[in-house]
Amino acid sequence: MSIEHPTQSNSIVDVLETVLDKGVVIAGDIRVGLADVELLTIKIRLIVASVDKAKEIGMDWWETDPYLNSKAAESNTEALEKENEQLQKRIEQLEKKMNQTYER
Amino acid sequence: MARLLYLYGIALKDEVEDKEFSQMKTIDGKNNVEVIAYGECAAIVSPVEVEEFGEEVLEVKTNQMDWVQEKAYLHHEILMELKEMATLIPMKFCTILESETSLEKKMDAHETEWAILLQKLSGKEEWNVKIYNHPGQLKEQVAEHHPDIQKKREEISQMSKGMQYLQKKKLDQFIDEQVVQEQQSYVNQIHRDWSDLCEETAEKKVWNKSVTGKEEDMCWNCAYLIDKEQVEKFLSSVTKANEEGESTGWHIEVTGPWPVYHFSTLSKSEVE
Repeated sequence: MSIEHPTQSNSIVDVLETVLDKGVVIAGDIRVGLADVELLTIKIRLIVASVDKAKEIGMDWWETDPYLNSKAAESNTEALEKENEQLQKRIEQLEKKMNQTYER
Repeated sequence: MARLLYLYGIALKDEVEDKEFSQMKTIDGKNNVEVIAYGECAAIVSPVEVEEFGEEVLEVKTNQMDWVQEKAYLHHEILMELKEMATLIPMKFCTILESETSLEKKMDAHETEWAILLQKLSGKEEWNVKIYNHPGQLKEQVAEHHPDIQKKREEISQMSKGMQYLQKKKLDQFIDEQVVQEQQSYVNQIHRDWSDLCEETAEKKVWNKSVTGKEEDMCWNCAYLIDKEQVEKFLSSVTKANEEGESTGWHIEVTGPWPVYHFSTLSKSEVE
Protein backbone atom coordinates (compact mmCIF):
# COMPACT_ATOMS: atom_id res chain seq x y z
CA MET A 1 0.00 0.00 0.00
CA SER A 2 1.23 3.44 -0.71
CA ILE A 3 0.31 6.16 1.69
CA GLU A 4 1.43 9.10 -0.29
CA HIS A 5 1.82 12.27 1.58
CA PRO A 6 1.17 14.92 -0.96
CA THR A 7 4.33 16.55 -2.15
CA GLN A 8 5.28 18.93 -4.90
CA SER A 9 6.20 16.30 -7.42
CA ASN A 10 3.65 13.55 -7.34
CA SER A 11 0.21 14.85 -6.66
CA ILE A 12 -0.67 17.95 -8.58
CA VAL A 13 -4.19 16.67 -9.01
CA ASP A 14 -4.55 15.83 -5.34
CA VAL A 15 -3.42 19.19 -4.10
CA LEU A 16 -5.26 21.28 -6.64
CA GLU A 17 -8.54 19.45 -6.32
CA THR A 18 -8.49 19.93 -2.57
CA VAL A 19 -7.25 23.49 -2.16
CA LEU A 20 -8.99 25.10 -5.10
CA ASP A 21 -12.57 26.11 -4.86
CA LYS A 22 -14.80 25.33 -7.78
CA GLY A 23 -14.61 28.30 -10.10
CA VAL A 24 -14.99 31.19 -7.74
CA VAL A 25 -13.78 31.51 -4.19
CA ILE A 26 -16.97 32.39 -2.36
CA ALA A 27 -16.02 32.51 1.27
CA GLY A 28 -13.94 35.67 1.12
CA ASP A 29 -14.64 39.27 0.15
CA ILE A 30 -12.33 39.28 -2.81
CA ARG A 31 -13.73 37.66 -5.89
CA VAL A 32 -11.23 35.23 -7.30
CA GLY A 33 -12.14 33.57 -10.53
CA LEU A 34 -10.18 30.39 -11.17
CA ALA A 35 -10.31 28.13 -14.16
CA ASP A 36 -11.68 24.75 -13.22
CA VAL A 37 -9.40 22.27 -11.55
CA GLU A 38 -9.29 20.01 -14.57
CA LEU A 39 -8.03 22.69 -16.88
CA LEU A 40 -5.55 24.06 -14.35
CA THR A 41 -4.15 20.61 -13.66
CA ILE A 42 -3.69 19.84 -17.31
CA LYS A 43 -2.00 23.18 -17.93
CA ILE A 44 0.31 22.87 -14.95
CA ARG A 45 1.15 19.30 -15.77
CA LEU A 46 2.07 20.23 -19.30
CA ILE A 47 4.52 22.82 -18.03
CA VAL A 48 6.09 20.45 -15.52
CA ALA A 49 6.20 17.56 -17.96
CA SER A 50 7.66 19.50 -20.84
CA VAL A 51 10.46 21.12 -18.86
CA ASP A 52 11.46 17.93 -17.05
CA LYS A 53 11.22 15.73 -20.08
CA ALA A 54 13.16 18.11 -22.25
CA LYS A 55 15.98 18.25 -19.72
CA GLU A 56 15.93 14.50 -19.36
CA ILE A 57 16.66 13.96 -23.01
CA GLY A 58 19.29 16.70 -23.05
CA MET A 59 17.12 19.28 -24.74
CA ASP A 60 18.25 22.25 -22.74
CA TRP A 61 19.22 24.30 -25.75
CA TRP A 62 17.10 27.24 -24.67
CA GLU A 63 19.52 27.90 -21.86
CA THR A 64 22.12 28.95 -24.38
CA ASP A 65 19.84 30.09 -27.17
CA PRO A 66 20.23 33.87 -27.53
CA TYR A 67 16.62 34.34 -28.54
CA LEU A 68 15.31 32.60 -25.47
CA ASN A 69 17.85 33.48 -22.89
CA SER A 70 18.92 37.07 -22.45
CA LYS A 71 21.86 36.14 -20.26
CA ALA A 72 23.23 33.88 -22.91
CA ALA A 73 22.59 36.64 -25.40
CA GLU A 74 24.54 39.14 -23.33
CA SER A 75 27.57 36.94 -22.89
CA ASN A 76 27.40 36.10 -26.56
CA THR A 77 27.50 39.73 -27.61
CA GLU A 78 30.34 40.41 -25.25
CA ALA A 79 32.40 37.62 -26.73
CA LEU A 80 31.69 38.86 -30.23
CA GLU A 81 32.66 42.40 -29.31
CA LYS A 82 35.92 41.19 -27.86
CA GLU A 83 36.73 39.14 -30.91
CA ASN A 84 35.89 42.08 -33.11
CA GLU A 85 38.20 44.33 -31.15
CA GLN A 86 41.07 41.86 -31.37
CA LEU A 87 40.61 41.43 -35.10
CA GLN A 88 40.55 45.19 -35.60
CA LYS A 89 43.82 45.49 -33.72
CA ARG A 90 45.44 42.79 -35.82
CA ILE A 91 44.34 44.45 -39.04
CA GLU A 92 45.70 47.77 -37.87
CA GLN A 93 49.03 46.17 -37.07
CA LEU A 94 49.15 44.40 -40.41
CA GLU A 95 48.37 47.63 -42.27
CA LYS A 96 51.08 49.43 -40.34
CA LYS A 97 53.60 46.74 -41.24
CA MET A 98 52.54 46.82 -44.88
CA ASN A 99 52.90 50.56 -45.05
CA GLN A 100 56.33 50.31 -43.51
CA THR A 101 57.41 47.71 -46.08
CA TYR A 102 56.15 49.81 -48.99
CA GLU A 103 57.76 52.96 -47.71
CA ARG A 104 61.08 51.21 -47.78
CA MET B 1 -6.36 50.75 2.17
CA ALA B 2 -3.50 48.45 1.39
CA ARG B 3 -3.94 45.66 3.90
CA LEU B 4 -6.04 42.60 3.16
CA LEU B 5 -6.36 39.47 5.27
CA TYR B 6 -5.65 36.05 3.81
CA LEU B 7 -7.73 33.60 5.83
CA TYR B 8 -6.25 30.11 6.26
CA GLY B 9 -8.78 28.63 8.60
CA ILE B 10 -10.81 28.73 11.78
CA ALA B 11 -9.87 26.96 15.00
CA LEU B 12 -11.13 26.89 18.56
CA LYS B 13 -9.62 29.74 20.52
CA ASP B 14 -8.58 27.44 23.35
CA GLU B 15 -6.52 25.30 21.01
CA VAL B 16 -4.48 28.08 19.44
CA GLU B 17 -4.23 30.75 22.12
CA ASP B 18 -0.88 29.68 23.47
CA LYS B 19 0.62 28.43 20.22
CA GLU B 20 3.58 29.99 18.46
CA PHE B 21 2.95 30.96 14.83
CA SER B 22 5.74 33.42 14.14
CA GLN B 23 8.02 30.84 12.53
CA MET B 24 5.37 29.70 10.09
CA LYS B 25 5.45 30.28 6.37
CA THR B 26 2.83 32.62 4.98
CA ILE B 27 1.28 32.93 1.57
CA ASP B 28 3.20 36.10 0.69
CA GLY B 29 6.44 35.12 2.43
CA LYS B 30 6.61 38.50 4.14
CA ASN B 31 4.03 39.05 6.86
CA ASN B 32 3.57 36.80 9.87
CA VAL B 33 0.60 34.69 10.83
CA GLU B 34 -1.86 36.40 13.14
CA VAL B 35 -4.57 34.89 15.29
CA ILE B 36 -7.74 36.91 15.67
CA ALA B 37 -10.01 35.57 18.38
CA TYR B 38 -13.74 36.00 18.44
CA GLY B 39 -15.89 34.28 21.03
CA GLU B 40 -15.00 30.61 21.15
CA CYS B 41 -13.29 30.68 17.76
CA ALA B 42 -10.13 32.14 16.32
CA ALA B 43 -9.30 33.05 12.74
CA ILE B 44 -5.83 32.27 11.49
CA VAL B 45 -4.78 34.88 8.98
CA SER B 46 -1.83 36.75 7.57
CA PRO B 47 -1.92 40.23 6.07
CA VAL B 48 -1.34 40.51 2.32
CA GLU B 49 -0.84 43.54 0.12
CA VAL B 50 -3.44 44.78 -2.35
CA GLU B 51 -0.61 45.01 -4.86
CA GLU B 52 -0.23 41.23 -4.71
CA PHE B 53 -3.64 39.91 -3.72
CA GLY B 54 -6.10 42.57 -4.80
CA GLU B 55 -8.98 41.57 -7.03
CA GLU B 56 -7.51 43.01 -10.22
CA VAL B 57 -4.04 41.62 -9.62
CA LEU B 58 -5.46 38.19 -8.89
CA GLU B 59 -7.36 38.22 -12.13
CA VAL B 60 -4.01 38.32 -13.91
CA LYS B 61 -2.08 36.07 -11.53
CA THR B 62 -4.60 33.26 -11.54
CA ASN B 63 -3.90 32.87 -15.24
CA GLN B 64 -0.18 32.44 -14.65
CA MET B 65 0.27 28.75 -14.08
CA ASP B 66 3.58 28.94 -12.26
CA TRP B 67 2.07 31.44 -9.83
CA VAL B 68 -1.00 29.26 -9.24
CA GLN B 69 1.13 26.18 -8.76
CA GLU B 70 3.54 27.84 -6.34
CA LYS B 71 0.89 29.55 -4.25
CA ALA B 72 -1.52 26.62 -4.22
CA TYR B 73 1.22 24.38 -2.87
CA LEU B 74 2.21 27.01 -0.35
CA HIS B 75 -1.40 27.26 0.80
CA HIS B 76 -1.43 23.49 1.07
CA GLU B 77 1.81 23.37 3.09
CA ILE B 78 0.62 26.04 5.50
CA LEU B 79 -2.70 24.30 6.04
CA MET B 80 -0.96 20.97 6.64
CA GLU B 81 1.13 22.62 9.32
CA LEU B 82 -1.86 24.30 10.95
CA LYS B 83 -3.77 21.04 10.94
CA GLU B 84 -1.01 19.55 13.10
CA MET B 85 -1.46 22.31 15.65
CA ALA B 86 -5.21 22.34 16.10
CA THR B 87 -8.55 21.09 14.82
CA LEU B 88 -9.16 23.28 11.84
CA ILE B 89 -11.86 24.41 9.46
CA PRO B 90 -9.64 24.84 6.41
CA MET B 91 -10.35 27.61 3.91
CA LYS B 92 -9.89 27.25 0.20
CA PHE B 93 -7.05 28.80 -1.74
CA CYS B 94 -7.27 32.60 -1.90
CA THR B 95 -9.95 33.21 0.70
CA ILE B 96 -9.28 36.88 1.29
CA LEU B 97 -11.05 39.42 3.45
CA GLU B 98 -11.00 43.15 2.96
CA SER B 99 -10.44 44.16 6.54
CA GLU B 100 -10.44 43.10 10.13
CA THR B 101 -13.93 44.57 10.47
CA SER B 102 -15.13 42.37 7.66
CA LEU B 103 -13.58 39.32 9.32
CA GLU B 104 -15.22 40.18 12.63
CA LYS B 105 -18.58 40.51 10.94
CA LYS B 106 -18.15 37.10 9.43
CA MET B 107 -17.07 35.56 12.70
CA ASP B 108 -19.92 37.17 14.52
CA ALA B 109 -22.36 35.56 12.13
CA HIS B 110 -20.87 32.06 12.17
CA GLU B 111 -19.01 31.68 15.42
CA THR B 112 -21.56 29.36 17.02
CA GLU B 113 -21.92 27.22 13.93
CA TRP B 114 -18.16 26.97 13.53
CA ALA B 115 -17.63 26.04 17.16
CA ILE B 116 -20.09 23.16 16.81
CA LEU B 117 -18.46 22.01 13.59
CA LEU B 118 -15.02 22.10 15.21
CA GLN B 119 -16.25 19.96 18.10
CA LYS B 120 -17.55 17.48 15.58
CA LEU B 121 -14.32 17.44 13.57
CA SER B 122 -12.11 17.00 16.59
CA GLY B 123 -10.20 13.72 16.46
CA LYS B 124 -11.18 13.03 12.84
CA GLU B 125 -9.05 12.89 9.75
CA GLU B 126 -9.73 13.28 6.06
CA TRP B 127 -8.34 10.61 3.75
CA ASN B 128 -8.69 10.61 0.01
CA VAL B 129 -8.99 7.50 -2.07
CA LYS B 130 -8.65 7.12 -5.80
CA ILE B 131 -9.33 3.77 -7.42
CA TYR B 132 -7.81 2.97 -10.79
CA ASN B 133 -8.36 0.03 -13.05
CA HIS B 134 -6.42 -1.27 -15.99
CA PRO B 135 -9.28 -2.78 -17.97
CA GLY B 136 -7.16 -5.40 -19.75
CA GLN B 137 -7.69 -8.20 -17.26
CA LEU B 138 -11.37 -7.49 -16.73
CA LYS B 139 -11.87 -7.46 -20.47
CA GLU B 140 -10.27 -10.85 -20.79
CA GLN B 141 -12.33 -12.18 -17.94
CA VAL B 142 -15.57 -10.92 -19.43
CA ALA B 143 -14.68 -12.14 -22.91
CA GLU B 144 -13.89 -15.62 -21.65
CA HIS B 145 -16.49 -16.17 -18.99
CA HIS B 146 -19.59 -14.19 -19.86
CA PRO B 147 -22.18 -16.75 -21.02
CA ASP B 148 -23.82 -14.45 -23.59
CA ILE B 149 -20.52 -13.79 -25.23
CA GLN B 150 -19.68 -17.42 -25.83
CA LYS B 151 -23.07 -17.90 -27.44
CA LYS B 152 -22.70 -14.79 -29.55
CA ARG B 153 -19.26 -15.92 -30.73
CA GLU B 154 -20.65 -19.19 -31.99
CA GLU B 155 -23.42 -17.39 -33.83
CA ILE B 156 -20.93 -15.05 -35.46
CA SER B 157 -18.75 -17.88 -36.70
CA GLN B 158 -21.71 -19.06 -38.81
CA MET B 159 -22.18 -15.69 -40.52
CA SER B 160 -20.87 -14.25 -43.76
CA LYS B 161 -17.55 -12.35 -43.72
CA GLY B 162 -19.07 -8.85 -43.91
CA MET B 163 -21.63 -9.67 -41.28
CA GLN B 164 -18.92 -11.12 -39.04
CA TYR B 165 -17.01 -7.86 -39.10
CA LEU B 166 -19.98 -5.79 -38.00
CA GLN B 167 -21.08 -8.26 -35.37
CA LYS B 168 -17.57 -8.51 -33.92
CA LYS B 169 -17.48 -4.76 -33.53
CA LYS B 170 -20.78 -4.88 -31.74
CA LEU B 171 -19.50 -7.63 -29.50
CA ASP B 172 -16.41 -5.61 -28.56
CA GLN B 173 -18.67 -2.76 -27.60
CA PHE B 174 -20.75 -5.09 -25.47
CA ILE B 175 -17.61 -6.32 -23.71
CA ASP B 176 -16.54 -2.74 -22.96
CA GLU B 177 -19.93 -2.03 -21.46
CA GLN B 178 -19.71 -5.11 -19.30
CA VAL B 179 -16.28 -4.01 -18.08
CA VAL B 180 -17.61 -0.62 -17.03
CA GLN B 181 -20.41 -2.38 -15.16
CA GLU B 182 -17.91 -4.63 -13.44
CA GLN B 183 -15.84 -1.62 -12.44
CA GLN B 184 -18.89 0.15 -11.05
CA SER B 185 -20.04 -2.77 -8.96
CA TYR B 186 -16.55 -3.33 -7.58
CA VAL B 187 -16.26 0.30 -6.59
CA ASN B 188 -19.74 0.38 -5.06
CA GLN B 189 -19.04 -2.68 -2.95
CA ILE B 190 -15.70 -1.43 -1.68
CA HIS B 191 -17.10 2.02 -0.94
CA ARG B 192 -19.90 0.47 1.09
CA ASP B 193 -17.37 -1.49 3.15
CA TRP B 194 -15.30 1.60 3.83
CA SER B 195 -18.29 3.78 4.62
CA ASP B 196 -18.99 1.58 7.61
CA LEU B 197 -15.67 2.66 9.09
CA CYS B 198 -16.22 6.36 8.40
CA GLU B 199 -18.10 9.24 9.91
CA GLU B 200 -18.85 10.78 6.57
CA THR B 201 -17.93 10.44 2.91
CA ALA B 202 -17.78 12.94 0.06
CA GLU B 203 -17.76 11.66 -3.47
CA LYS B 204 -15.52 13.59 -5.82
CA LYS B 205 -15.22 13.95 -9.53
CA VAL B 206 -13.63 11.11 -11.45
CA TRP B 207 -10.90 12.57 -13.64
CA ASN B 208 -10.13 11.53 -17.16
CA LYS B 209 -6.70 10.45 -18.31
CA SER B 210 -5.52 13.84 -19.50
CA VAL B 211 -5.88 15.06 -15.94
CA THR B 212 -4.46 12.04 -14.10
CA GLY B 213 -1.72 11.33 -16.62
CA LYS B 214 -2.20 7.62 -15.98
CA GLU B 215 -2.87 4.76 -18.32
CA GLU B 216 -5.49 3.25 -16.04
CA ASP B 217 -9.09 4.42 -15.84
CA MET B 218 -9.96 6.33 -12.73
CA CYS B 219 -13.08 4.63 -11.42
CA TRP B 220 -13.58 6.20 -8.04
CA ASN B 221 -12.52 9.36 -6.26
CA CYS B 222 -13.79 9.99 -2.77
CA ALA B 223 -12.93 11.68 0.52
CA TYR B 224 -13.52 9.89 3.81
CA LEU B 225 -13.83 11.46 7.22
CA ILE B 226 -12.48 8.93 9.69
CA ASP B 227 -12.10 8.85 13.43
CA LYS B 228 -8.39 8.65 14.23
CA GLU B 229 -8.98 5.37 16.01
CA GLN B 230 -10.44 3.82 12.88
CA VAL B 231 -7.74 5.01 10.52
CA GLU B 232 -5.52 1.99 10.92
CA LYS B 233 -8.38 -0.36 10.23
CA PHE B 234 -9.36 1.66 7.20
CA LEU B 235 -5.85 1.67 5.81
CA SER B 236 -5.35 -2.04 6.28
CA SER B 237 -8.64 -2.61 4.49
CA VAL B 238 -7.24 -0.56 1.60
CA THR B 239 -4.04 -2.60 1.62
CA LYS B 240 -6.00 -5.81 1.54
CA ALA B 241 -8.14 -4.59 -1.33
CA ASN B 242 -5.02 -3.56 -3.20
CA GLU B 243 -3.50 -7.01 -2.82
CA GLU B 244 -6.68 -8.82 -3.79
CA GLY B 245 -7.41 -6.57 -6.73
CA GLU B 246 -3.98 -6.57 -8.28
CA SER B 247 -4.58 -9.54 -10.51
CA THR B 248 -7.67 -7.94 -12.01
CA GLY B 249 -5.96 -4.63 -12.73
CA TRP B 250 -7.08 -2.69 -9.68
CA HIS B 251 -4.90 -0.12 -8.04
CA ILE B 252 -5.94 1.97 -5.07
CA GLU B 253 -4.20 5.15 -4.07
CA VAL B 254 -4.83 6.59 -0.67
CA THR B 255 -3.52 9.96 0.49
CA GLY B 256 -3.79 11.73 3.79
CA PRO B 257 -4.40 12.84 6.35
CA TRP B 258 -5.54 16.08 4.73
CA PRO B 259 -7.06 19.15 6.28
CA VAL B 260 -10.78 18.39 6.31
CA TYR B 261 -11.56 20.42 3.20
CA HIS B 262 -14.42 18.21 2.11
CA PHE B 263 -16.21 18.10 5.41
CA SER B 264 -16.27 21.70 6.43
CA THR B 265 -17.65 23.35 3.35
CA LEU B 266 -19.54 26.48 4.10
CA SER B 267 -23.24 26.12 3.66
CA LYS B 268 -25.08 28.59 1.41
CA SER B 269 -26.35 30.59 4.31
CA GLU B 270 -22.84 31.03 5.59
CA VAL B 271 -21.63 32.37 2.32
CA GLU B 272 -24.11 35.15 2.01
